[in-house]
Amino acid sequence: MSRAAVSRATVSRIVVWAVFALLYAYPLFEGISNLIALPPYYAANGIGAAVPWWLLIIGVAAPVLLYLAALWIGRGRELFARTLVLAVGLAAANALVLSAVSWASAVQPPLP
Amino acid sequence: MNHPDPGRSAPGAADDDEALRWAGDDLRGGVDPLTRNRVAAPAAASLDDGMDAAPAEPGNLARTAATVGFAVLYLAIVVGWILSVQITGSTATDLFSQVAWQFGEFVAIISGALWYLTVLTLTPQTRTAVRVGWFALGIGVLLPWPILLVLAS
Repeated sequence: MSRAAVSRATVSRIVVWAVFALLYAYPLFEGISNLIALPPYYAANGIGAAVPWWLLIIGVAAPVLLYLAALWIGRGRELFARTLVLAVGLAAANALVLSAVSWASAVQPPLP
Repeated sequence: MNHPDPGRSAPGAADDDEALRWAGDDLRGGVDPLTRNRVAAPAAASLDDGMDAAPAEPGNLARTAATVGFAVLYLAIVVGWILSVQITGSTATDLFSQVAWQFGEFVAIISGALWYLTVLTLTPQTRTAVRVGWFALGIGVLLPWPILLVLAS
């Protein structure tokens, strides 16, 4: 493979990484905003001890871990396979965020 | 080699055979060229005759069964997420957040199909256990909790 072809492949790969990093940023942003906003909301309503920390941590960790896992699984593969794995990770991250939100609603104690 | 020989009036088959043998062949274990390449007895027709593909390997049945079985489960996951997004909603009012939320719901709906097709694409040669492992992991990660929690309550 020529030097130009190698650099073109590298640029394509970096563009895919960057685009997916932006797409993963939204579920990560949601997770962080829940982590920041939910504990004070629970405390203000007198149920501060019932903060579902495990769900908040999953909400923040899932997008980051899935992005890194997708990069690791896609290493050494062609661009299509890398993109496919990143897309699956993105879909899974969004599904996990929605699941975490519904679990948080389900385990929230009744407000006094 | 049937060159006409003016010295012989009617060259016969015996002459042709003779021409392709050397004296002493039999003693040295040689085989004359006329019989060397003949097939002594045609091989019995094998079972593979007429088949384009390689014969099925022993593990293929389990692999096919797992692939089909998980297809049904992943279809259920897609249906589950279609129902789930009906009962989840965003309280955001700005356009960007609404669009991002809708996009998140859309990719959650297709997550099952994407995971299934990706496993199919990336594990064509791997062991059946590896493929089944990836399928099972996807089922665990992508469970449509919003609708399951509603059904359970």
